[in-house]
Amino acid sequence: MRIRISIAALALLLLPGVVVAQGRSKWFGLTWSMASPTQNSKDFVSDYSFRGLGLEWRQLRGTTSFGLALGWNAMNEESFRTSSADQADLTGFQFRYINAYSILLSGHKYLGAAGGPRPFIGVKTGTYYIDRRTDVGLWRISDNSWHFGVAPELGFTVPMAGNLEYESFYTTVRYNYALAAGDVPYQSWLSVDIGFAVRK
Amino acid sequence: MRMKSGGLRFCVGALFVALWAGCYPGEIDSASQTDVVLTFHKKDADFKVNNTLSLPDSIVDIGVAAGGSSSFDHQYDAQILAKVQQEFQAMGYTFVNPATTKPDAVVMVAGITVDNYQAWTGYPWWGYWGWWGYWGYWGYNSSNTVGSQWYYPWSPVVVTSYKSGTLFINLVDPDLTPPQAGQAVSIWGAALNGMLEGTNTEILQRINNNITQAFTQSPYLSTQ
Repeated sequence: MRIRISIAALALLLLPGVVVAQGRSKWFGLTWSMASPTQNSKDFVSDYSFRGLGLEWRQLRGTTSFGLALGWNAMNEESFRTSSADQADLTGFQFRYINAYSILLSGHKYLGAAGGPRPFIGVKTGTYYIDRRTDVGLWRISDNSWHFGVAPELGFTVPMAGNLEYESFYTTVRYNYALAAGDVPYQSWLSVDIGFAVRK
Repeated sequence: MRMKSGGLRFCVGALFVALWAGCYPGEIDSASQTDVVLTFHKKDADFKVNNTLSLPDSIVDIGVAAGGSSSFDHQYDAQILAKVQQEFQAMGYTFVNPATTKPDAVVMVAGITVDNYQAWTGYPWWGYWGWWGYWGYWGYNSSNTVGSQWYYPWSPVVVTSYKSGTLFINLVDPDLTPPQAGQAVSIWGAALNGMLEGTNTEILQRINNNITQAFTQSPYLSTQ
């Protein structure tokens, strides 16, 4: 499994070169995405997550851009607890997971001057597929659902090769808010992405 | 200092792979982490009126009793029953000899070690306890109880699918009027479920711990 993941990650690293060759004013980003669950999501899993990935494409026009972003955050928590409901009490190790996948359209506004660090603000909107799972003992309780959601974000990009037009590190802080869907209440988490982008 | 693009990509790629592989979410990594203790009780049960109990001297293997395959190990019946009795006594109960004294309630212990078995509320348990010769106190005739079972006031809350090893403890109050003739009302029940891996000593230790947990999470059982 880990070999497959490694191959997939390495394959993704080849994509920027392909995108660069396709034309100007395109941005391709790959990020390591961390997440801190909030509100309802924090009630389900409270641990800070270091497991996630972001992939995005932006079409630049002057100081603005629009694009598409794909994301995945895996949040989990392990605990030994007693859960009570009505006349029932259940004690055991609980392994809880939230896997959140996002497909979002994005829009960004860039500040600063080309060639130096540039802060940007943006908003993303689209769909989230959220899979929640609780393993307790030999039982598993799970649900999954599609949510509509929005994600405002702040970030900045720093040129690494002395030329912003080619490669740069960038980081974002994004608040993901997925509206309630079916029996699943709204889910939210703060994600911190660190990665690099290629632009030409 | 500037990095060449190839070096930059390599470093970032290595970072991703290392972080991704190194942050695999937690999973069950020992048999004891599969242990689950589930308890239920009758909503309005008065546990202070049943001060004397009786405990049959065997654990019923409901897998075999149902005609299926089971490998429930009776080697530790005595220790398990003693532990159950000890925990009830710690809650203030007194155990009596049913041959000489009618108890207020009866403790039933059963086990099963097969997978995917539908149990507890959906099963006619009564037949397995017909051998216990003291039902006459409450007017039950064990030879004429076809289709009878315990009545669980908390049903249908109960999850009825169990895997691996499960030990059931029932506190039955035959004085309570059941909804149907031939039933007896269970006012408290515990199911201890987990994987049966490890040495017998380890498994017995886990069972003991889980019996203690069942009573710890049921403080309302106290007669005080």
